[in-house]
Amino acid sequence: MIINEKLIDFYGKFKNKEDAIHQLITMAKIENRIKDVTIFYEAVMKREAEASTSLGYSVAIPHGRCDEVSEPFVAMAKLKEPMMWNDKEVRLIFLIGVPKSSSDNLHLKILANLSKHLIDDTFREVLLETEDVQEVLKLFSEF
Amino acid sequence: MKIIGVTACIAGIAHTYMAQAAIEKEAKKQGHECKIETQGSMGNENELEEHEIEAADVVIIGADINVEGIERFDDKVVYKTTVSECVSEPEKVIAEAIKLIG
Repeated sequence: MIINEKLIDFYGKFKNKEDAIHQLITMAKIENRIKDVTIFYEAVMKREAEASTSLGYSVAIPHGRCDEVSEPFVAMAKLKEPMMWNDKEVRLIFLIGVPKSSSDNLHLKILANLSKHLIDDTFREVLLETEDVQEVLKLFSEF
Repeated sequence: MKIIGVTACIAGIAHTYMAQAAIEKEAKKQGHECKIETQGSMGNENELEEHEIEAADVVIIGADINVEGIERFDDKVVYKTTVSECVSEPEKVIAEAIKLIG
């Protein structure tokens, strides 16, 4: 699975964007989804510097597409208190990792579907309000 | 109104598809017909058919990279913008595109 319960943090509390990315990467590392934490962090920050990955909808999607990713993943954090991500307020953060050479359409399809659903207000409300990790996993399994 | 378009971001993982969904949702809300092709990590999807291009009133290109097959729209009214604009401000993007047809 692209996500599992250990890649979900319902009570995220971060000092800033860098801290959030760092903590989500740590979760992914523990689950053996990435090789070198520092190289992956730099890839994510490089992408973030090109253009903010929060474009409204209370969501940020930092991502890295590089070969430090050993298995595609999404690490998700929900924030009890909204935080600023550059100029946008966010309450949901999805860190995405995909290997550079990936032609693994199954995972890419899940990521594309997740992205499309994030535009949907009801979908985001379900994610924000649920206290049940299994409900989140079920949503992902339907993509 | 018949609106078509293409979205394409650098990584092709997430924002290409958010932009597609945002534009299609807003267009539908306004009562327009809309189909957006995505050029992302899975290749080109929801590809525009020749007859759909023919019938379209306006084309929205929301892209941060070069779009494949841009010549398909040579004879069309094209509104060019970025992926982030499509995601953040779909209402404005559609309004600007429609303004071009007058």
